[in-house]
Amino acid sequence: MTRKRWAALILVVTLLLTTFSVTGCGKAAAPKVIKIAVAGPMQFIQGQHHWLGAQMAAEEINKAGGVTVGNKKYNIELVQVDTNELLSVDDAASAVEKAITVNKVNAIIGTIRSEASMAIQEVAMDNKTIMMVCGASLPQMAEKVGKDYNRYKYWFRVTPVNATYLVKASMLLLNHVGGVFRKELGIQKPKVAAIIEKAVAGDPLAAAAAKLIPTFGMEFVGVWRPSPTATDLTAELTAIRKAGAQIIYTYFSATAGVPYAKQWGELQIPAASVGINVEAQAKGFMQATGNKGNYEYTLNTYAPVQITPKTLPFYEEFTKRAGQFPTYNAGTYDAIYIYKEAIERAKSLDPEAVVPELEKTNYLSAAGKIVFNKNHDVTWGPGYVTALGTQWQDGKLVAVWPNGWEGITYPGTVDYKLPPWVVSQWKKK
Amino acid sequence: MVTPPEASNLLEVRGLTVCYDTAMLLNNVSLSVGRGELVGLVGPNGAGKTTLLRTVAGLVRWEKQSKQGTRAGNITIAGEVRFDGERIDSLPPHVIARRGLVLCPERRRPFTELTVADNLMAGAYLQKDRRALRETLDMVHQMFPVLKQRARQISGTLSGGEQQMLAIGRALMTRPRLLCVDEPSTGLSPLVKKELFAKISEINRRGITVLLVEQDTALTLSVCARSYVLSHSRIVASGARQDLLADQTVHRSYLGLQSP
Amino acid sequence: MNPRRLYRRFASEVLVLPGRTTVLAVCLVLLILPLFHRHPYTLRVLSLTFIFAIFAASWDLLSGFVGQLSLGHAIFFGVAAYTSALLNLQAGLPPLVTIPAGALVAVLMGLVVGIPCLRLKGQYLSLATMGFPIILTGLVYLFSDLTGGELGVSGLARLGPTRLSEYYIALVLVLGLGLIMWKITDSKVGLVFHAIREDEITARASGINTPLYKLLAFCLSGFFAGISGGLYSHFMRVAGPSTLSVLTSFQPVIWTIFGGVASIYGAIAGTFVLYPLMEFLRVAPELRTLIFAALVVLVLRFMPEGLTPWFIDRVESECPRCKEHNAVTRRTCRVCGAPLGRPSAPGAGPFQPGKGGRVAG
Repeated sequence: MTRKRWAALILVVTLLLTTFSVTGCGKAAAPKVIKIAVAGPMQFIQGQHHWLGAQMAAEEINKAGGVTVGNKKYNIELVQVDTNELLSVDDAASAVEKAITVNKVNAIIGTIRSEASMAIQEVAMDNKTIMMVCGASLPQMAEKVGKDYNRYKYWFRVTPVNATYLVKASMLLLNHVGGVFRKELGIQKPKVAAIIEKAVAGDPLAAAAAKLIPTFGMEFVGVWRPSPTATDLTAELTAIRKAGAQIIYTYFSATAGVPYAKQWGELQIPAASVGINVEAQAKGFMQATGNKGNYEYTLNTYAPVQITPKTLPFYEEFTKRAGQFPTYNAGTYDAIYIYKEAIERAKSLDPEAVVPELEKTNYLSAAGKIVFNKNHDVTWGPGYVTALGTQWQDGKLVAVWPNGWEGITYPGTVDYKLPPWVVSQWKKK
Repeated sequence: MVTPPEASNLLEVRGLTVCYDTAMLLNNVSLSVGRGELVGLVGPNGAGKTTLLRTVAGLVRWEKQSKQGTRAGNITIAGEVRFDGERIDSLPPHVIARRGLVLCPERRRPFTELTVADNLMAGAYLQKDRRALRETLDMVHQMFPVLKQRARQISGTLSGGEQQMLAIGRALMTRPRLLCVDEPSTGLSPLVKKELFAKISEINRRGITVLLVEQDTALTLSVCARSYVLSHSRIVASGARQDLLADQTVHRSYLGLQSP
Repeated sequence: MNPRRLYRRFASEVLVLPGRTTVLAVCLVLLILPLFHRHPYTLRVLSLTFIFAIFAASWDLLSGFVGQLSLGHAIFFGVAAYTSALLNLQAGLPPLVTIPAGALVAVLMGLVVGIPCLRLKGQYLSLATMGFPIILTGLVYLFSDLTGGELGVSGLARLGPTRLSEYYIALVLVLGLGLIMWKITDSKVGLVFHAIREDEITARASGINTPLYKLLAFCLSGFFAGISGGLYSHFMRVAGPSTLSVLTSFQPVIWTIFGGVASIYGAIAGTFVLYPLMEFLRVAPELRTLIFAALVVLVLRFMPEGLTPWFIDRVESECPRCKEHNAVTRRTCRVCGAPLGRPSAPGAGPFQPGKGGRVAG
């Protein structure tokens, strides 16, 4: 009696599975649509910017008639993929595998967390799917293209410029301020303190700072390492003041950037603050710092200046839609355009044909001229993507760098302003 | 005091003093148990009887070690405990058990989630020889037929008396040379108590030395040829059954009228 | 052995109990599934389910069975993931070598964690276990040249040449290792583990060297958790700090409690249900975690001891006399012939001493 029941159960389960496999799950892409998966942590700002930037591009392109592939017109269809990558790497990889194998997307753009981006890279390369990173910045991902081209050739990075260049650019900003000290205050060898959050990326930077700063003709007075999520940095700031620092070189990628700037402004620490402060890229920065964040100077990707003809329209439209300034994650906007142009040149959707065209990319994006190096990484340098130095002046975020660097000044750039209390403290009479 | 000659003493305790923080639980206690004897240890509540058994079994020293660094770790042990001529003061409990000194702790404590059979096997853990194991198991089953009947029953569902038998049975599975039983009659009805004590006598008749700690003085004195009386952490009396029964000190301690 | 004898033995040990038959049915379904459905996404989700089920079972072995509640189990998973990754990348060793090597390092980690924990009990033990993955994460970032820091170690060899082969490797391992773990708990060693969990003092007094057995539990648990860590790193082809995260430590706890602690198969069943469920809930990305948590809480409301005890209670009943399990449809016990009632029926409770084993009425 019982045995028959169990046999029946097994039979039923097997039948269910069979029907499941026959009907299948996931259809092939509907005709005349290019599916692009936008992959990011959609509950967080990075993912939201991934999505908004992509949305803007897709709408513009579709409105203008879509993508021309040979003699057919295709629309772009976006597939939102919440990778949850900040919490779980295997979750992210599974989400992308679903998008590729079930939703049958043609390309993936986005990702932010480096470890997850690597896992996703493996999934995309397994399936020979084009992947364009807009967020994760560690250089090692690109090196794989050089080491195993046949497998990794489908991978490209659109934003940001990789971490090596970010550090280089931030050092250029430091030099910029150093130059202003020499010119306006007559101080030939400004004293520099470094405040670098105690996290992964910060460690090599802290070591590099001590070595490099003297080579810029400045004096290195010490490095402070607060927690990335610290809420009170008065101890560090007071110590920095005691050390006689005239410039503070910063690296903040998380929330500590807000209390840092706020307390720096409140205490009127007589040192100009410059470097990377991701919180200072956000529209809500002034409010968050109680309006004390003026004169904070950070590296950025976008600002209301004309890096290229695309920059200002993009900046304004994005700010209108999102209520926030675009961060580098919004580079999905440019990624989609780059992909579109490569498809149109290749006259095909086949990744084998599109990849060589992507390699030939020479595109004036909202962030600058995008050209990929041999590792499919976005090139940094004058004439390409340089990144921007943006400073808060009178409650507005303006671009102050490049300002003549390598002969480059983007229209709309203004001069850097030293905080007045710094000037009064150090100006040689 | 009647003490058997030392050479044949299985257990020899000399000058044992145990303090938990500032409380002295055992004060210079000395006793001995000869081979094949059934010795009783009686006394009022809180006299230190359980502490004595636990110290002899090595559990107090283990407690002291594991609670080092906490407030409860302030335990001092002084004195000598010899088992079969060798000192066992500094040995861990499982080694003492392997040597043949097995404690059947108070409040029974079988492994309540395990079956009766599994409980017995836990005790037999030390046995490698299958045949000897079989024999021991048979012996235990003979002595406590109810354990055989209830072999597959979860021991937490046994009655109090059955659980006590199980605890003793488990201790027997280790083939002890000295079995220390701590207050087996607690919470049992008079009929069950009598049956239990009869079993303990039987165990002793089979050649296992027994040190029986009990609250029920009358019953204990009736089965043990020789007993000690512990009161307020000291040995206040000892001797053969008839001597103790006639002793006034025993009555005092039993009734708790006056501290010595 | 004579096939008829073999079948009869099989029938008498497996087919008579609906619980075991279900397990067998599920195993068969999983084994033949790829014949009908070979979608790489499905195989991916199932493969990860199998790998994590091994991890959950290893947690159950230590925390459910021996009562050493580990809230930092990711240490074993992560240390093995990194070890196998580094051996593969730096020394070029294949997964067949790196995964056991990673598991052995996890065994050593079992000692590192277990020895300080010998003296600790309850909350203090659990808190202490949480510290280890944090320490190792710090070391990972400190030596980022070797470990890749936040990026992790990548470019690892695949677990198997095809997704299908990876599926079968993971399936065979979860079934095999699960069986081994279950056998351990069913053996004398398992008895000792149970005794230690229930009453360590009495166990000690019975002659059991409890510290030694606790260390053994840490090492065994570490071994199996390490295998799952190595499998994970080669399946994902990346081993990073996420393998040491708090989420990684807590997931096996949730899966095991849901499935039923202290049974090994409960941990596996819990993972088999919850991990694919979480993946399935991807259809509602914003509400995913909320729905998942709500479902778990709701289900536990009706299955307070977890999924498998509830299930076994539905399909099997215990003979009041001989305590053997029987299919719930039976009216008499298959071993002793006693009449079977529902467990809550009157007269099926504990007995008075001296009476025989008979059900009243």
